[in-house]
Amino acid sequence: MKARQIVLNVNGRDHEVSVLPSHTLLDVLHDELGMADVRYGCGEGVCGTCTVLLDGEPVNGCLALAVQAAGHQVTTLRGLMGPGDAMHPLQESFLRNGASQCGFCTPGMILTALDLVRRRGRPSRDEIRYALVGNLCRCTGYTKILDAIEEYAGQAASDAGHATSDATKQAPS
Amino acid sequence: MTATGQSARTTGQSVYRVVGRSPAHHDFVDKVKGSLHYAADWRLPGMIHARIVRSQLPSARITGIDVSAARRRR
Repeated sequence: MKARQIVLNVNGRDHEVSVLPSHTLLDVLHDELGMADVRYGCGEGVCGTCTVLLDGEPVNGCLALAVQAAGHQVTTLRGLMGPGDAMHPLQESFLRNGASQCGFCTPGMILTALDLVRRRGRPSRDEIRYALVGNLCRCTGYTKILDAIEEYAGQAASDAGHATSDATKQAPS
Repeated sequence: MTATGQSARTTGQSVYRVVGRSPAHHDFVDKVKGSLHYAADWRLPGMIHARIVRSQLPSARITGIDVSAARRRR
């Protein structure tokens, strides 16, 4: 198979990479570009730890081919962070709630949950549980993960209600 | 439990740095940021990888193993 040059836009930055048609997006992000926040878990679309956003939608990096991502915007967990490595409010909620044990599933959990909250606003606990059906936590720390997402969704909804200009600002207590 | 006739003495809470608190684990921030390195993320100088190569034929006799391609990778 012949390698081809493609441009991958990851977290707002263009990367020119040489890929084989058989290379998955996960292969290129983790092995070629050295991104530790995109992880190889099962490699067959079951565990969700390689989740990235493709034009804002969560996809399994192991099931998408790298060439399919050319011309699209790829966002990894680190892409959510602000200047100076400032954590996204959802990451802060994970931190506050102790929602990360070994931490391996955390990037996929956060990206999947963020997409849910963007789509649904303030999802019920059952909706959150359902949205995370493709993200496995083998420490089984699900309760705290649900707590963290629920708290963030509440905070984000309250921020939107107060129509603050700064989306990262905490809700007034 | 305290022994009979003795009063339990506790140290003032301010003495403890950990007991009675919920401190975050030392690498917790790295985990939430996705920056913690796991086994597959490490690249060390001179690191080589092992791979299991199995016979393509059932009940075959191994007459030789050609490792020249692997050696060239070093």
